[in-house]
Amino acid sequence: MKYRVFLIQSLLTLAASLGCSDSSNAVSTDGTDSATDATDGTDGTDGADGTDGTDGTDGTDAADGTDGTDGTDGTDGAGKTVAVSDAITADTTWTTGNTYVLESHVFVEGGTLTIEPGVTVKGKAGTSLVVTTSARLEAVGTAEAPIVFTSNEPLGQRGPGDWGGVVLLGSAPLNVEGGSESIEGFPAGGDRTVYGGNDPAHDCGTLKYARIEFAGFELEKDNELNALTVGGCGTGTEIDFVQVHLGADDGVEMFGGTANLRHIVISQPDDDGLDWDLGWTGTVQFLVLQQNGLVGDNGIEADSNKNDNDATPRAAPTLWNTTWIGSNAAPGTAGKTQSAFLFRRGTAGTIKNAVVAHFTDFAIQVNDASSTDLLASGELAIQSSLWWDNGDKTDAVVAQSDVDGVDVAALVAAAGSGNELLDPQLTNALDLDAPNFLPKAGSPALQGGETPPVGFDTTATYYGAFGTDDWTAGWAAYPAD
Amino acid sequence: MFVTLSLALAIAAELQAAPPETGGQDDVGIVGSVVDRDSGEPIVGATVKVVSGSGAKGTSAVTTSGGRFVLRVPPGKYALVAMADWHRPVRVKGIRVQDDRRTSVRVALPTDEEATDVVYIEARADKRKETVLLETRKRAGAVSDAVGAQEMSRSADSSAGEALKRVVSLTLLDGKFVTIRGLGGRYTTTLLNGVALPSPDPDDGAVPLDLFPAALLSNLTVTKTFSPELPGTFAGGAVQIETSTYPDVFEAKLKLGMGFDTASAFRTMPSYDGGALDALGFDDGKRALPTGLPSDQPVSPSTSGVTDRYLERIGEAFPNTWAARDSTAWPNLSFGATVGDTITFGGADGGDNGKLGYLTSVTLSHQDRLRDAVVRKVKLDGGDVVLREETDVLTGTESAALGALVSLGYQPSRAHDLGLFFLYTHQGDKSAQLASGYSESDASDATSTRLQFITRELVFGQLRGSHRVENAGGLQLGWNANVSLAAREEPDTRDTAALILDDGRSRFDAGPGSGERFFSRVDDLGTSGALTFGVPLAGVRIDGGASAQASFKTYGARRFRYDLVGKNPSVLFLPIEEMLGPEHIGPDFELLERTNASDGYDATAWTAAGHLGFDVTASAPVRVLAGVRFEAAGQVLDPGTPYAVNRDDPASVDRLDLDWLPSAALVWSIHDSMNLRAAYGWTLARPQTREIAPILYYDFVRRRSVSGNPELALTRIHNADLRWEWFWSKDSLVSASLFFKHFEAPIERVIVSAANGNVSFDNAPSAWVVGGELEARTHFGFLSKALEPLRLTTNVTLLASEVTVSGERVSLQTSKTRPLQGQSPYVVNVGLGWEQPSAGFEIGLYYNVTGPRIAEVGFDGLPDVYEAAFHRLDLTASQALPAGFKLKLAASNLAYQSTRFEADGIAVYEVEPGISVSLSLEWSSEPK
Repeated sequence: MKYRVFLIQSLLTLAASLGCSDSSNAVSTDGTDSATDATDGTDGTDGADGTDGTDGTDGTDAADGTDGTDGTDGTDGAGKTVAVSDAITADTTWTTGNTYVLESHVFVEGGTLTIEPGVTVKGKAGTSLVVTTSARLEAVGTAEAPIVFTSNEPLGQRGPGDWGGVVLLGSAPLNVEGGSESIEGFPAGGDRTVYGGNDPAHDCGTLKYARIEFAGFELEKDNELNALTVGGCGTGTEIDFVQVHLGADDGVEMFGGTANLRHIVISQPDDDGLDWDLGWTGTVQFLVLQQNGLVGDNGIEADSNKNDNDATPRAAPTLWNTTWIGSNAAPGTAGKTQSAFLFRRGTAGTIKNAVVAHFTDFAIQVNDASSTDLLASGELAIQSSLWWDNGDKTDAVVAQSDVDGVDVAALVAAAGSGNELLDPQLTNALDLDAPNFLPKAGSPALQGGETPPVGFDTTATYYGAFGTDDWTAGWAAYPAD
Repeated sequence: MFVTLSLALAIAAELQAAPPETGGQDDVGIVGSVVDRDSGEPIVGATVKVVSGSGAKGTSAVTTSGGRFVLRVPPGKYALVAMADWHRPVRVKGIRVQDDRRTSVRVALPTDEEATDVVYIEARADKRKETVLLETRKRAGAVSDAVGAQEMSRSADSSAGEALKRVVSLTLLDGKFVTIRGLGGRYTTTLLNGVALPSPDPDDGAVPLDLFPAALLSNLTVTKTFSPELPGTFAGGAVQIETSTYPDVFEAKLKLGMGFDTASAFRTMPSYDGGALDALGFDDGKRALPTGLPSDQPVSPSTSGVTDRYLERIGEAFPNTWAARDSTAWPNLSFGATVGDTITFGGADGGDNGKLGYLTSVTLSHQDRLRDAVVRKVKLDGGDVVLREETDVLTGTESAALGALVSLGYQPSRAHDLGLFFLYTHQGDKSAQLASGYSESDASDATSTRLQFITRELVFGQLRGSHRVENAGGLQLGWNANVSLAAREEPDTRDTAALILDDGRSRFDAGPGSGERFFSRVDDLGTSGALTFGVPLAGVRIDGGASAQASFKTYGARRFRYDLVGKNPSVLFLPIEEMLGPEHIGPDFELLERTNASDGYDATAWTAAGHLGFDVTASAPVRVLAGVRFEAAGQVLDPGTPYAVNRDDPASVDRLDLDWLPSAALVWSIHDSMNLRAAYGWTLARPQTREIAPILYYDFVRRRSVSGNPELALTRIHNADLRWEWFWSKDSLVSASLFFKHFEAPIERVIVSAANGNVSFDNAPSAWVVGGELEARTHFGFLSKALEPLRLTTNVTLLASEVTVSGERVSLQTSKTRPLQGQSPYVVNVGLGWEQPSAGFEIGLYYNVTGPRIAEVGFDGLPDVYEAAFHRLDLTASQALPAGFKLKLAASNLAYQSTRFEADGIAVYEVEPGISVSLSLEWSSEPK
């Protein structure tokens, strides 16, 4: 750390020459802050919703210590800002009205962490909330007062990767040697980062009516925190009505386990939307992904195990009623190669009643002998779905494989697959600021899908995540910064 | 090892003044030779002194090659005394010198049978010589092996690391880290002139031995059994590097060398536009951080004063060089010069015993190296190991090394010796690396480029002294005080990556590991001191001492990345230096700090030790050595850096260990030249400070994430050795050894994440190593006089080891029971030489092989990666020329072997180093 000392002076000189002293900078930041707030107020669909309430707290917090106007600010006069840095080892409740600021990686090592509706949790750079295998999370918001996990940066300066994200760890099976491992992104010392085991019913807790924004801290290549990481969680876990918005790296990453996902919104991830690894066998119903045009990658990136493609349990989730929206650019012009689905490294799985539209380069890629074999045998089945404008083609499923002689497009579009090339006629699915993923009246997506089996909502016989009910209303939000 | 104290004084000369046989007036005097009475072999370095005789009393000379000496004395009658190491002094009386002629004398010295310790005499053993090193081994209390400068100069070895390969049971990892009996890293200790060295590696304590040019070394001794004066972190052994010291007579040497290897010479290699001093191994400042960077905060929008305009300015202030350029690999060049002398003067005790000696030595070398490696990744498919992806990695490296040594010695009298020593080595490696291949994770062809410049430096200063107090029963005192600095700097490493689309266009990868600049610096400042004493009593010798050592290591890294902030991905298709040019920094790209809280630390490690040993000779022919060492060791690590963009505050580490380390040895002199030795030591291995720090850091040297484990325990090791050795002539020996080691709670590197191969550390329950060594070296003169010039040196080591790694929290390793990492089942060295001193000709053929050893432990079902055996065959030849010149030719890897790392038969890393050839011309003021 022997970088040159005289740089301090140089910096001060430079800062002065640019005409921005410390104090003037703080004031101008504040100004931007309130301006953004105002825009929010006029723009929001529900003027009085919980989002704005927490935004008000935002203002308080941003002003914290930098100026003295915070007393007059904030709609929740009773709200406190609580700094959290220590591990949680016993039952703890984060109460409505307060803002909790994560000062470091906060591990819930024992008991249940209850987060009440409307609570805002802000993460400073490089922090995260980790629920270990010996603890539970009970974070249940409401459509009117969702729980918001967001960046600690001021409004207008927030961006993907501002903080780490939410990590849920459980003892359900993984397909790694020995059955357990240490989750990426954390030091491995001690037991708190270890997950995986023999309890497929493990209950990591409940995460319901919650948004996770601007998360996903990147440590280095192949070692990042995703906005929502679910490792080895079992069927006792409930993840329902959850949005991950502008997350660095992947939106939601499932490492093994059997946890189920319901009512999920993944908006503008930096990398893949839904990523699974190490033998996940859960179910999904009602999930929408809207890809980020600049650096967004695949809608799904699915592996069973990259080291041993045939490791057991093999990844084989079942996904009903999902909507996948790409960024609608011409092929080869997006920041990354964009494909709705990338299945590889031995994953199986079933996808039914999906809407797949506007992916820049490919509709689907299936790589590695193990996964292409599963596609041929039907253990990897993508059926009864609508495909539209992927790889800039409305008359074909644009597909690719790195295995010679495998025609993925032919396998996907085979007779009896129920896959059709039809425009789903979504209302405003490509809009990044105020999307509407519902099919327009008369859309072919509204009917004609298969009937989901028991265990799923059997009334959802339509294609995609939405029929006529907008389940994102009220609690989901799409702030740009 | 109880001889160490006095041998520490034994400093040497290889070349001695060979007096002219003819001449004018000066030619008058006594000429002669000193030989060993038993073998008849000449003794080099013996002192011959005039003890009586008018006008010349006190005049002395030191014997040179052939044991010859000349005493220039006026005509008269003289008595002489000849003295030499391990011999009894002999007095010769009644030598008459007449006006017009020389008088010849031949003195035969008997071996000192009772010498269980080195006789403290004026003549110093030349520890560069094979015969002297063998004699040292024979007399030592511990099991040791050595290689001297004489042997090093015969082989093709250029650094300490390479030369060590010739020692029994020694192998090298990465060409620079030594493993002894298959145990490397934490299990070996490297001592330079008796002092533990700091490491320039931020994550590892191992000392890279390629930092020491062979030309600056006197000898390398490897001690394989523990004795109390050695550091307690001992299992494989201790490498003791002794640097050259001043010669007894004036000596000047020059050496100019040139070489090439077939994989590099005159080929086009990647390089890049760095700085003007790259060819000398120094950065000229072009890679420094630009002025105007916050000195105590990250370059981040949340830092006050950092605006978009400021970020644009800073982003453009770094050199916009990202692409490699073609250059030509030139032949290697090396240069060395040495000057040394000893000035004799009237000493404090009135006689002509005072000495002042000096040696200065400089080496320079420059090398261009091209390596075309193939790197493969494997996976399991249906239970079979199959290829996952393959990448071709082309690396062009320009290395420049500089070494300088100054050694001063002052002996005011025979009882006192003071030495001042200074060593500086510096190496700069500039490399450009181009990787291209298929990226399985991106499902696309991919390329990446890394431009890197690394300098490593070692500065070492030592003041040491030894004293013999005659009126205190021959009490011997020794002391040293040392300062060292090891530094490693990596300024402005630049990484870029791109994917190649199906239409052939290259698209910049806007993500982690691409568009990044990395800066790091490690400084390890060490200071130490030691005091030892030896008391020779009747039948027993007591040795003891105390030492203290502290090192202060500072590591700081900063990383920056150009983030894509514009909304137009088409810029990603531009040529890299246009894309990251001033036009696009600002609107499309923004430079942001990416430094993590774990990218810096301050660490302190200290050890204080005391030791006491008894060397009992009263029970001859059995000699009993027993002793104990006590060590207190502390480790403190305080992680953090002011440049971190995350606020995670990693916990610091503070640890203290107190340990007793007993040892015992028996040496049974079956007869004068045959020993049977048995030894036992209870030693330890400590975790590196960073291994116990509960932080996740990125190992930029090995490119992977590593996390420490604060629960790591100390490893204790039982070592047992048995050796039989027969020194059947001055330069011949046969020896056979057996050893067994048992490790309690050995620290193993473990994989903790199957997803990305993250590494951590854990204590395995136990491990053991068992092995046998055979060594033989001889001339064949005993068969026939005609075969006298033929010399054979050979050694074979067989090893087996096992560690069980089950029972940890995470058990991703495929093999639960396996050999220790880096442990070869066999190591073989054979050297065959032909030496004709009369013709000044020497030729040698050397073979070295290290059996397959685990390079990386496999995880998640993947096989362990083994480094395949490399059969190295080298040839060297030298011819003395008139006027002190000598021509030497060396050729390496004549069997054209490639370096291969294999996973179940698939080469996961493969590179052909080619055959290298070098030619050097040496000039010496005193030809052999």
